[in-house]
Amino acid sequence: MDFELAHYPVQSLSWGAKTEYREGELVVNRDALRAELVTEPLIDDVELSIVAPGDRTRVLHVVDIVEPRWKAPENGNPFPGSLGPLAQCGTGRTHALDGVAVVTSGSLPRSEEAIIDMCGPGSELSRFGRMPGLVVLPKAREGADPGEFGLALMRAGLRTAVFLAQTTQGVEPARTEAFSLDLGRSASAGLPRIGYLSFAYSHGIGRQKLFYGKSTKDIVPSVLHPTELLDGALVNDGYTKPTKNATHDILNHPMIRELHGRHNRDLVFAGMVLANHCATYDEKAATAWHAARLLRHVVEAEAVVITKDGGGQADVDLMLACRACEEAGLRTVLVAKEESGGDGPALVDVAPQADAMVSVGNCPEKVRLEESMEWVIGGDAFLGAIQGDVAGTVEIPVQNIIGAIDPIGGSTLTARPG
Amino acid sequence: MKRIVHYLNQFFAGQGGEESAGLPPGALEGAVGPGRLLQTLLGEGAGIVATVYCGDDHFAENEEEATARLLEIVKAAKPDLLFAGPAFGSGRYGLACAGVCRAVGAELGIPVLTAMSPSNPGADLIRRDIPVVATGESSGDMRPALERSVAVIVKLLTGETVAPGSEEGLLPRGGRWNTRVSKRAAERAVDLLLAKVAGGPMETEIPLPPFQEVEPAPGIADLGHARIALVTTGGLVPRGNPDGIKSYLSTHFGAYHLESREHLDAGEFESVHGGFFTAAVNEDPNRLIPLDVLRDAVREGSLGGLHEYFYSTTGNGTPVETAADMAQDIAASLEEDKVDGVILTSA
Repeated sequence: MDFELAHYPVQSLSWGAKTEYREGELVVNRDALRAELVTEPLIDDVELSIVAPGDRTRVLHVVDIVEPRWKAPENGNPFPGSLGPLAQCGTGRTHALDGVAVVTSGSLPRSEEAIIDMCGPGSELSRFGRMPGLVVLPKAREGADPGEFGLALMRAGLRTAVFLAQTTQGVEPARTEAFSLDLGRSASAGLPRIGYLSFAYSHGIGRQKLFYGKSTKDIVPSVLHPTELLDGALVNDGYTKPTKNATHDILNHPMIRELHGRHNRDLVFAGMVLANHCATYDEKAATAWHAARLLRHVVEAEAVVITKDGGGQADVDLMLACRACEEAGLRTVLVAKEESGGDGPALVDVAPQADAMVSVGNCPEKVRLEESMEWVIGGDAFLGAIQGDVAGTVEIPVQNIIGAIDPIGGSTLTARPG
Repeated sequence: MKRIVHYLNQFFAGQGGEESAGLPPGALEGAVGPGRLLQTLLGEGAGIVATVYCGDDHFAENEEEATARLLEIVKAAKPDLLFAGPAFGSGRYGLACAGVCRAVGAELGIPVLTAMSPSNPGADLIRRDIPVVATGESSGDMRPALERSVAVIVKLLTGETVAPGSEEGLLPRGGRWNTRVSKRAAERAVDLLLAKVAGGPMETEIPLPPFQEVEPAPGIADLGHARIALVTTGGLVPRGNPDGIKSYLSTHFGAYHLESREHLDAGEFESVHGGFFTAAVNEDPNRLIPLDVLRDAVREGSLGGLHEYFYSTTGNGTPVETAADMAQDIAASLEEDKVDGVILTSA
């Protein structure tokens, strides 16, 4: 066993005297959690709520969603660098509370609306509307720098995740899942060697993923072990969402799980490269050839899936990487969200080599949410251009329902010509 | 019971063939001709309360007047929905169906639809805005065409969402439409990649557009006598955004007079672009529209002159076709104003 996820499914979430996990029931002592969260110097107080599937509840201003995780201290910690001290990810055993979401909510500068509906069409479109959630709504200390408070908000989500999952200490898991670290030597001959190039949103505070707690703004393309992402190496610090992945998505990474699940069956998962979305064209071009070279000569892939983590500028990275990989002899498939008005492909940039693409949906297409909500958490108005009653019927771009558009392939949404 | 008005041409309304094509608009009570079958297929939930008609030639030659008259007749019948055709492959009839649908939809705000063949010139005119049920070229396809139409009519009357074209038997509306499939995108991506590696058949979910080579215009030989215009996709507008330029998926542009300004003031202009950090531009709009240095260049004589307007839109998620449409409009007006060159600045 190299890396093991111990799964603890959660069927119900409630407040109670003692924080504990027992046979699918997660009980939380609200005061103890609050006391834990106000240890963050920039958090004055925190409003904590529990939401359940089927409730007439809407959560606004979602900043991140985290899956509760715990690791025995001798194995490191679940979010090294982002919350705890630096340690290795993707080794040893990690405990995961399945089917429950820690949701942080808040309004930060330039944040975009991201909602969760616990009932109706919004809940059908996003898995986060179909699982119980603990909503963490911190109040900033007066005069707190918004960027710093954003990081405190991120840590509050991670802290809550650890607080909840430590209840599984000493509890027998429902099932365990083993991941071999030795992808290379165990590879079957004769199967196609598939690599994965994962771009991370990376434009600085509040607009980025953190890699072991560090900004991804200035990273260079790096080969890393896929299990690292399943184990907390990459954390979301992005509130200009909502079509960038939440931490919960990365911990359950659909693309890595797909490739890992098919390893030695109909493909060999040769390995992956993490890259960032740089700010300038030159840097983007350099990132593309750098990543292609690693995938071709270090990972030794013959074909690559590429996912992006952003809007228009990210299309440029996607296409430059496609071109660089194809020119290096690597076949590519690109996964892209679309932003369409007209007839053509709804991408800002296209390369002639991009002949195989998968669409994760058309972001601006509106969905009518015809609900009368009894409880709205997080605010009394939608952010940005969305007009409508926060507790009632609203026509909202599908992209503002967090989880509906999943850049790393976890959703069944796609777009077709109409 | 929901009230439906049915539009037919003179032939299908039983008012005579080609010799009666000049017939002006008229109305008949209840269902007529193909309307009878339509009524049978509709059942009891909806009734054809009136049939309106017009000669095909009359409509083509007097479109404005005929449309106005038809609108009056339709309005008087107080319908919940208007159905026009099927026009099959008949071009004049198809154009009339398109015209009537567009006018009734816009004026009365009720659901409208028509049916015709993909090659009918009326189809391309409205398929983006109005549901057009696909039919064959001739009235031999009447029954299946009406059956498909009824399925859509029922959805429109009950306020149900009409799915993308092909799934409803409609002509493509254009654009991209969300739909759910059984497999997650991660699985589809890996399947597609394995198919590509194997060299077998594969189907991309996002087809590539035709690539277009744009030949650059020849350089300007004498800048000292050239008139230069400023165009930006950085979303610079007068404060308050009088033309409502959108910050994302922009569909139109603004033209703003420079007057005698020597530079652009932060108090007067701002960027409404939603895809970049606009603080630097809002602090000094000349960073996006470099009016200050160009005025200097004109004074020094290195530039002939400046066009009195600058043009602005936001390039943020805008589809290429929309951007090309806007660019053609801007280019046409620059050409008309005898502009020699353009400085194009982006976000």
